[in-house]
Amino acid sequence: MKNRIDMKGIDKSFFATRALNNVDFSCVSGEVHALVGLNGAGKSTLMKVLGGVISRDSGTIEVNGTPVEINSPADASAQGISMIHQEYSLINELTVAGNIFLGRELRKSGPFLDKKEMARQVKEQLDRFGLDLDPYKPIRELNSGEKQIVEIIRALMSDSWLIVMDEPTSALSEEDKGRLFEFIRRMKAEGISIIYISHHMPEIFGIAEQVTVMRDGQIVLSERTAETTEDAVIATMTGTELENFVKPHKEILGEVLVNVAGLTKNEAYQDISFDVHRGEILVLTGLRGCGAPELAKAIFGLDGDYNGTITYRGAALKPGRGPAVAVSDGMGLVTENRDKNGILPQLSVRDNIALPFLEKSVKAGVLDGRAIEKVVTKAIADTSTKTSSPNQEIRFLSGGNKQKICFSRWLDPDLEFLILLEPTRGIDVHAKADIYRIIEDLAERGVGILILSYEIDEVIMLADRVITLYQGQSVSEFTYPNFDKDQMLADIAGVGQPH
Amino acid sequence: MQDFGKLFRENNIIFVTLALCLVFFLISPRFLSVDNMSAISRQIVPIGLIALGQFFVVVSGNIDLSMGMGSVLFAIVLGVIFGVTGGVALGIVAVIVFSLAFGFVNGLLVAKLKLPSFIVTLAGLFIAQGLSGLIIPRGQQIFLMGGFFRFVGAEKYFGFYASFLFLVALFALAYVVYNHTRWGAYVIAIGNSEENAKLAGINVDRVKIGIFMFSALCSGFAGVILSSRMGFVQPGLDGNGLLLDGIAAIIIGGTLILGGRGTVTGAFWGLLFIGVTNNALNLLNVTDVWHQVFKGSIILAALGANYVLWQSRQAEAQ
Ligand SMILES: Nc1ncnc2c1ncn2[C@@H]1O[C@H](COP(=O)(O)OP(=O)(O)OP(=O)(O)O)[C@@H](O)[C@H]1O
Ligand SMILES: [Mg+2]
Repeated sequence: MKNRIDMKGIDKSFFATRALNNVDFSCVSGEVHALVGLNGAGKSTLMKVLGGVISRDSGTIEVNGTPVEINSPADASAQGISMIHQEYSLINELTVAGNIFLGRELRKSGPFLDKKEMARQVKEQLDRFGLDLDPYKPIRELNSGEKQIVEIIRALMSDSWLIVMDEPTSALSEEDKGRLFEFIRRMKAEGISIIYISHHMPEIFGIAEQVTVMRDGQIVLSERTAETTEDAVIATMTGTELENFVKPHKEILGEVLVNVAGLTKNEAYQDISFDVHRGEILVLTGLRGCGAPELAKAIFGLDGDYNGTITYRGAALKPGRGPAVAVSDGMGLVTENRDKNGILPQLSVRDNIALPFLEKSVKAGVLDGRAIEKVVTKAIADTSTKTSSPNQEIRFLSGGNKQKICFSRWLDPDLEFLILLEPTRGIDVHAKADIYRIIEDLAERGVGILILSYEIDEVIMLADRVITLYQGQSVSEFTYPNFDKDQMLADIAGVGQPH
Repeated sequence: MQDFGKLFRENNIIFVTLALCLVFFLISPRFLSVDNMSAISRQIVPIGLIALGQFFVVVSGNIDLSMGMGSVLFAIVLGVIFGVTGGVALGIVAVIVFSLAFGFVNGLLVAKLKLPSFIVTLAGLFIAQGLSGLIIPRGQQIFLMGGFFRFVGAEKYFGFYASFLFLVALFALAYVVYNHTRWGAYVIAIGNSEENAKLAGINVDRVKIGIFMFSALCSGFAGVILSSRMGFVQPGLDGNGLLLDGIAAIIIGGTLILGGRGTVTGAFWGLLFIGVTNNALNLLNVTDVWHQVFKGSIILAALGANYVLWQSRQAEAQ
C-alpha cells in the first residue's frame, strides 16, 4: 500500500520572523523528495513541524488522508516518521548502540535491556556502511564523520516509512556519501520515502524524483526532477541568476608564512611537511580519518602533542600554545563542528562575531562599542547572513547562517593566516559563491589560507595548491593549473598509482 | 603486573580510599578493628541513602538540596504517627507516601515549570526545616521504642548490620537500573542534553519527576534508619551536613557535577571514602573545629590524587 503525507496550510512565526507562510507540502512513499532553498528559507522549520519538534501556529498534517496530531517526536515516530536532524542530536556519554536504540530499546524479558542483541544489530549496519566501529564505544570518542553515520544509521533502523534527512551529507566524505546514496536507493525500492534536504544540486538530481523549492517561508516550485534543470531550480531558489564564482588565478609571489616540517602524531598523521605562502590558498583533501583536522589543531596551537616543527613568520611555534596566543598572532580558525566548538549558543549574533576582537576593541579599559558595531555590520553584510537583528541569539539562526557567523568572525584586518575546516558545510549555493569570493579577497590581501575540504569540486575551484592525504600520510601534491581530478580522487582513496 | 596497573588506573577512587585506610591504620591500629569497621558500616547508611538519591538527580543534570532536611522531616512524620497511634507499619507507610509526595512536587516544579532545581529544592530545604520545627519545637523529642526500631538500628546478620545490608541491596538495585534498564540510559541522556533526549522521543518530564521521587524516597529511608539508630526524633538534626556528605560522596566517586556522567560503583567507593574519613577523625579525637578543616583537606587531597591518576591514564591512552 502506498503511504502519503500531506501538510496543509502550515504557518509558523518566531516573534517577528515568519518562518513558514501557508505551506502545503506532500510526499508519497517509495520516493525521494528533495527540499531545497537558501539558508533561512524555512526547510528545517517545516520538517521540525512534521517531526513534532516544534509546534505549528496553524495548519493540518494528514497521513493517508486522515488528520493526525503530531505534537512530540514520539508522536511522529508512532506515525512512522523519523528524522536526521541538521544539528547534532546524539548523547555523548552513551554508546553507539545506546544512541541508535535510544527511545526504542530492545528488551529481554522484563525491564532488562538486551544490550547484546542491540549491539549485534548495530554492528550489522555498521558493517554494511563499511565502518569498523565498536557498538559499545561511547559517542564522545567518535569523530564528526562517524557521528554523522551513527545519526544516519539511527534513522535507518527506526522502522519508519518516512525518513527526513536534513543535510545528512554535510560531515561525510565522498566515500560515505556513495554508501548513503546506495542505502537510499535500497530503501526507496522497499517503499520507504525520504525527504532530503541539501544544498548540492548534483546530489539532488542524482537521487530525487521530486524537488520542492522554498523561499522566505513559502513554496515557490515543486516539480519532477526529470522535468526541470539545476539552473532552473537555483534560479527559483535565489530569485535571481546566480553569478558563478570563477577564481582569478595568479602567481603566488609572497614569502613563506607557515612552514610545517615532519609533523607526526602517532595515529593521526605522519611526517607531514608543507609551506603556506602569503596570499596562497593551500587545500588539504582526503577521506574521513585523513588526519587533516588534527593537523589544523596542531597548527592553531590547540594540540601540543606532536613531533616535528611548525614555523610561523620565521619563528618556531611553541607546541600547544593555545588559541589565545594564536589569535593575537593573527591566526584564525573555523572549526568543522560548529555546534560543539564553533558558536556560543546563548549569545547574540553580535557577540559571537565580535568575540575574537574584544581584546583589541578595548579603549581606555572599556569596550569600544562603535568599533565593534562596524565590524559586526560589515561581517553580516559580507556573508549575507540572514538574521532578524545583530541582537538575535545565534542558536535561533538557521544552520547555514550559523556557519556564516563562524566564518565572518575572522574577517579582521589584522588577520594573517586563516585555517578553514569545511568552510562551506551547510551553506547554500548563493552564499557559497559569496564565501569563495571572501576567501579570494583575503588571499588577495596577502592572507595565507589553509583549507580542509572533502568536496573535490570545491577543492579544485579554490586551490592554488592541493595536497592529498590518505590515513595521515600525504600522498601527492598538485599545483594550479595541473589539477587532475581523477588522480586526486584515486590518491585520497588510497588507490592512486605512484606518479 | 600490567593488569594490576590497569586496574589501578581504572579504579582510582578505590585505591585512594584504601590508601587513606592505611594511613589511618598507621596512626591508630584500632581503626581497622572489626568493631570499628562494623561501626563505619552503620554510620554510612544514612549518607549512602542520600548519596544514592543524589546520584540520579546529579547525573540528570540537577541537584536536590531539600533531601537532607527532608530526611529530618520524614523522621518526624514517623515519630508523630508512631507517638499518636503506636503503629509502626502505619508510620512507615506515612513516610513513604509523604516522601514520594514531596519528591513529586519537587519534580513537577522542575519538569513542568522549567524552574532550576537548585532554587526549587533550596525552597524545599527551608520548608522542610520550618515544618520540622513547627511539628516538634526545638529541644523536644519523640522516643521511638520497640522491636522494629531496635531491628533497624542494631540488628545484625552474619556480622553485618541489617541497615547496611539494606543499603548494599539498594546500591545493587540502582546498579542494575542504571546500567541495564531504559531508565538509566534516559537519566544519562537527559543529563547530557535535554534537547536531544526529547528528540529521541523520551518523555523527559516523567523521567525527571521519577528521579526526584526516588531521591525523596531514599531520604525517607535515611530518616527512618537514622532515627531508629538514635531511638528518638527531633528537629535539631544536622540534615544539611548529611546532604553535603552525600553529595561529596558521589562527586568524589567520579560523578560529574554538571551531569551526564557517573557510575554507581564509583559513588559507592566515594561513600566509603567519606565514611572512613568521618570515622577516623572521630576516632582520633579530633576536635569539632579541626574535624571540618581536616575533612576538607582530605577531600582536596583525594581529588588531587584522583586527578594525577586520571592524567597518567590519559597519557597511557595517547
Ligand atoms: N527557534 C527559533 N527562534 C527564532 N527564529 C528561528 C527559530 N528557528 C528558526 N528561526 C528562523 O526561521 C527562519 C527559517 O529557519 P530554518 O532553520 O528553517 O532555515 P533553513 O531553510 O533550514 O536554512 P539552512 O539551509 O541554513 O539550514 C530563519 O530566519 C531562522 O532564523
Ligand atoms: Mg536548516
